[in-house]
Amino acid sequence: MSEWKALNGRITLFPTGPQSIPSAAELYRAVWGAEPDAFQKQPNPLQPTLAQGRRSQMAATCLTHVTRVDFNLSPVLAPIETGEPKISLIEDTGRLFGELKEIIKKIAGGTKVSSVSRIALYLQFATVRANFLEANKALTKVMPEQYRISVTDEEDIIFQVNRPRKSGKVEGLRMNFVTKWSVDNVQVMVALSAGAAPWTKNFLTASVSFDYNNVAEAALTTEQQSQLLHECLGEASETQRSIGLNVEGF
Amino acid sequence: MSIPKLAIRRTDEATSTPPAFFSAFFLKGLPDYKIHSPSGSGYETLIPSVPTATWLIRYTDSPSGSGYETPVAEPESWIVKSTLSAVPDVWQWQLSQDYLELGTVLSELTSLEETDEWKIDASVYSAASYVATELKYHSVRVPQIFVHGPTSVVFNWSDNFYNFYLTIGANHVSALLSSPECILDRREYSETEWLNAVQRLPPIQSVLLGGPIISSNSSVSYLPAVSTFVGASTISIKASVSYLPGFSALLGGPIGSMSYLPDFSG
Repeated sequence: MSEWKALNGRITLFPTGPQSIPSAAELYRAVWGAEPDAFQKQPNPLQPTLAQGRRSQMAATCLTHVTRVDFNLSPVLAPIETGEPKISLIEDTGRLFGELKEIIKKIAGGTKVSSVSRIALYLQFATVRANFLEANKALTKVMPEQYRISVTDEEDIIFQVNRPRKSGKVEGLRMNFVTKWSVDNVQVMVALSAGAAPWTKNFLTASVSFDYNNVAEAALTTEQQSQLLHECLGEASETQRSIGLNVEGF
Repeated sequence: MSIPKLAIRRTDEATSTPPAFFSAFFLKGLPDYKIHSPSGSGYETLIPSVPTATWLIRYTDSPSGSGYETPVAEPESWIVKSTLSAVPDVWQWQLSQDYLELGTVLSELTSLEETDEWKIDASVYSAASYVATELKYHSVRVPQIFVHGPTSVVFNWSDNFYNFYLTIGANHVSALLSSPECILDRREYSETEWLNAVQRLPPIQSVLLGGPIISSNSSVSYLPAVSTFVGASTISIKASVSYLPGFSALLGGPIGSMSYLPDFSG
């Protein structure tokens, strides 16, 4: 069983220009077919609005902003039973993969965002480690040979590469395939009521992120959006295997 | 010495032991309190299948018996951020604050009475919000805003000599650069050139400065900064790089910041 689990999966649509974007709650319903548990509308147009709920044991969030629409899947954090904040990862990565494909399917059917010129897929996989030495070791193990660096207990390591190329699905369109290796200090915060101070705890994670997207040129049809997202998902799946993450279900 | 009593019960009146978070959070550090239960053997309430419910803590002053109840929601945890040891970029924080104020002004302009001469059309509001967001992503100093009527808003930057205006209508943007003596540059952008309008600001800047402008774009698709992302387990990693010192561009700001810059370049 792979020790790498998912911390985040996200699909983003970037509108071509200013347009009336449906509310986050409406898009949540359109994509996930259910009412969100929470909806937060911002009166300020430069802040995003969001709708949140649960989907397949994951937290599902739709976020709309004047320049983008995000469909985000993240882990549902563990309940506080022992008094210690815990970090949670999406254990059922196969289900995450399926959910991302479902979102793409809904996009292919039309999401009410009338004109989109750019799409993006973001995936973050992580494994929790006790200290920097262990986290660095886990990280460098999944770096391709040509990028592998020699580190011991150094902190705040980030290595990112973009391997852009033309899309295999939409002729002439340039794609960014950004992969990032990092050791992150992830802070889990427990919000308490009754005026108590929040409790935070830090966790070290070795993390590999894929941020795949196209360069905006012209409006994309919903079919092209879907094709590009499938291309990104396929590329992420292939890359994670090739570098040795071996995330199950991907 | 009288010892106040503390009882825990849930609003739905089922019975069980209180969850661990009570002893972990609320009862910690209260040596002068005892947990009181009417039955003498347990606490009132808990239905484990309900994930988040309201609990009540009752404080009773012994021996008078007077007291009060405080509702307590079960705490939830979420990931708030990833942190680096790098010093946070104050400019980006200030920029966010400034643009929030600009957003508030735009919001107010569109919610005025129909008869108000300051009111702007919804389509103009939408366009201006879009342009403002792009300006923020490109780390452009927040503009002043002018309104001439319902069909456009004007963003203005001034350094007390040059003035730069972006006039934003529902379907177009025009840019104008002027000195006290004359118009130095004027450009029109149609609705298909929205991104170009923002992207072409640096060349206009260079007219002012008489030299090259260093601008940094990123090929990543960061989430926008969400100040009230309640309950979402989202990682936001901010990797700031140092910027050019002493760079006093008219449009201002540290041009070299990598944060939240979606790539719209070719």
